[in-house]
Amino acid sequence: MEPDISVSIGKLRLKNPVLCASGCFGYGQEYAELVDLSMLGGIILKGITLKERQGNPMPRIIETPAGMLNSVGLQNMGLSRFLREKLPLLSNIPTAVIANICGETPEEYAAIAKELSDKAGISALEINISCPNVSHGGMSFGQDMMLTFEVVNLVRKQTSLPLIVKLSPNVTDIASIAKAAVDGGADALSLINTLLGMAMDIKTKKPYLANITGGLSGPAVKPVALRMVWEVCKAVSVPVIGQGGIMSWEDSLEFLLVGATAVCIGTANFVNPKAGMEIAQGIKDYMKQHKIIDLRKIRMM
Amino acid sequence: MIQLTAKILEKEEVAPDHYRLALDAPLISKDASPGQFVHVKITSQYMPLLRRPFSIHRITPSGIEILFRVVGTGTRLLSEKRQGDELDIIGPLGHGFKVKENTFTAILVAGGVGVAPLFALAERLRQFTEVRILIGSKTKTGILCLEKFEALGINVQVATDDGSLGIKGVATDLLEDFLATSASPRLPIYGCGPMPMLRILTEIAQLYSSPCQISLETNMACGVGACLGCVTKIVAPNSSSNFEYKRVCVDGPVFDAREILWR
Ligand SMILES: Cc1cc2nc3c(=O)[nH]c(=O)nc-3n(C[C@H](O)[C@H](O)[C@H](O)COP(=O)(O)OP(=O)(O)OC[C@H]3O[C@@H](n4cnc5c(N)ncnc54)[C@H](O)[C@@H]3O)c2cc1C
Ligand SMILES: Cc1cc2nc3c(=O)[nH]c(=O)nc-3n(C[C@H](O)[C@H](O)[C@H](O)COP(=O)(O)O)c2cc1C
Ligand code: FES
Repeated sequence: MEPDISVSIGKLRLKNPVLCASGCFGYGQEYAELVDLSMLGGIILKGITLKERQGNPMPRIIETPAGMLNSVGLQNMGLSRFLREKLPLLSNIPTAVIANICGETPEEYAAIAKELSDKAGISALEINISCPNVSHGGMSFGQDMMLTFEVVNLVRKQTSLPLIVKLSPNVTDIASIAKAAVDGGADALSLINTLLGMAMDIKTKKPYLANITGGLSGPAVKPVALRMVWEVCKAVSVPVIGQGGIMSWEDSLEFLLVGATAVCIGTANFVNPKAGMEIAQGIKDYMKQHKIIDLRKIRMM
Repeated sequence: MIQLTAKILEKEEVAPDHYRLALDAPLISKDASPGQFVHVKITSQYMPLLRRPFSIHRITPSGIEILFRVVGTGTRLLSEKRQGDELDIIGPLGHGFKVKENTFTAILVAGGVGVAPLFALAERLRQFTEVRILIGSKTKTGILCLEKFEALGINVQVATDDGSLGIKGVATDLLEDFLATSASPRLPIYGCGPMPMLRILTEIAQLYSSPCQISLETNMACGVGACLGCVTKIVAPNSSSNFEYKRVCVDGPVFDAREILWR
């Protein structure tokens, strides 16, 4: 019997538990020549803000041991150009498409959510209260329980789409932030966003990144991500989308074992664009081999 | 654009710390044009983790060649590969050089390993125009492909910082001398090399009203336009800041030199 690897994130049904992470897969089209998008559980779009954002100065990326730092700073075309230029292309993508939104104020989040809620081609919203590369909003909301509640609650009132809240690892107690997001009305949580980091060029005695600090991603962060996903899964009962350093189906299984319902693939796409497809297949093969029919059955004892 | 496993057909150490690899990749070469690049996975380990971009040095029916200088971990590991080894590569990527068939003399200006994409370009241009290349480097061992250009019937001039080959000076000195004495105006210029050289090149091209295209390098992650990590500043008169960030991997790596904001 073929194992069923579909999963539910609130009302959202995904054909498999493997999503491509925001900021790491563009708007899907960028990878369409290299990847069979229909083999992915879903795609989370690059973060959208109300107004166009130019992003941070260059250089924006630097490789670090088993990872990379980025300080892209949410460069994007803004909501209205997104609606005109990108939205019409999304309906052709043969898998679930989730919009990732970010604001400088709770009202901005709510305004973007409202606009996107009745648009064909978008199946869910991910609210990013965890971007470490912007000076207003972003991570500052995700580091405060009250603000987390306020943003999520305001967005909840504007949308009936499944609502995923993306959490920052740059906090002391992630479980309390997770609970605040659920109290605010989150249908699911996703974590971790990048860990704030830094790298120095000893030749020039300057930071490699023009923005000085950036978000660390890739295999280097996986143990931290896994620990935080485990903590959050114990604290809340909504589905959790685990991410941070996943490169293989084996890595994904670790997140599913600690309680994640689905996983997100970020940096791995840059290394191997087919990573998402291969991981979805790998999970399926594993279940077949171990005669597991229901994905939820592979959780840690 | 395609991702494939390419066998290394030939490997040559062309100079100390400089290597040429010929890769079996007909599916990439059939769509490739000069100035485009390939994104190479050097190891399946996590050090280095990301792919490394290399300009397409030659386009042949059987595949492509790359020419690279060892500067760090990735290029060191790549230089240790052997003939017969396989590499996971994606390509052809980006926008290459635009070539107009009705040009007179085309002038190519290379700094160091910047000759890499200019060789493919020279092979294309010489089919319909006279080509000259001006190559600069610190010292004579860094002057690459000299005989190969000459074998194509291309006029080569050389400048080295230490005067060990050609004139003592830089490639852009050669360019200024040539343009100052040339009878034909507005000769098209194509450049690749370090940023300070490209900046001077752009100024000279503007002075002589020459159309100028340059190939840029920035750190890259995805190589396909998805991560926004590789951007460079492009003049945008309509923007409040007078510039916008464009992606070197898909909007370039070759840009019209007038578009670049150098500040
Ligand atoms: C579109 C494009 C085309 C390119 N084509 C070629 C080519 O044809 N031949 C070639 O030799 N190189 C080319 N490069 C540069 C090449 O990609 C880098 O040299 C390579 O990625 C360095 O990898 P590494 O792991 O060896 O060095 P890293 O470990 O990443 O860096 C080690 C050291 O090298 C320096 N370094 C890193 N990148 C560069 C760079 N771009 N130029 C000079 N120093 C650098 C760093 O400052 C650091 O000190 C190209 C780059 C781009 C963006
Ligand atoms: C270049 C880059 C850009 C990113 N942009 C966004 C973004 O716009 N919104 C967001 O919520 N997360 C963004 N992220 C975070 C990723 O979605 C992901 O949560 C994180 O990288 C951890 O997963 P990974 O280790 O698999 O990459 C970005 C990450 C990278 C590397
Ligand atoms: S390298 Fe990712 S956008 Fe250019």
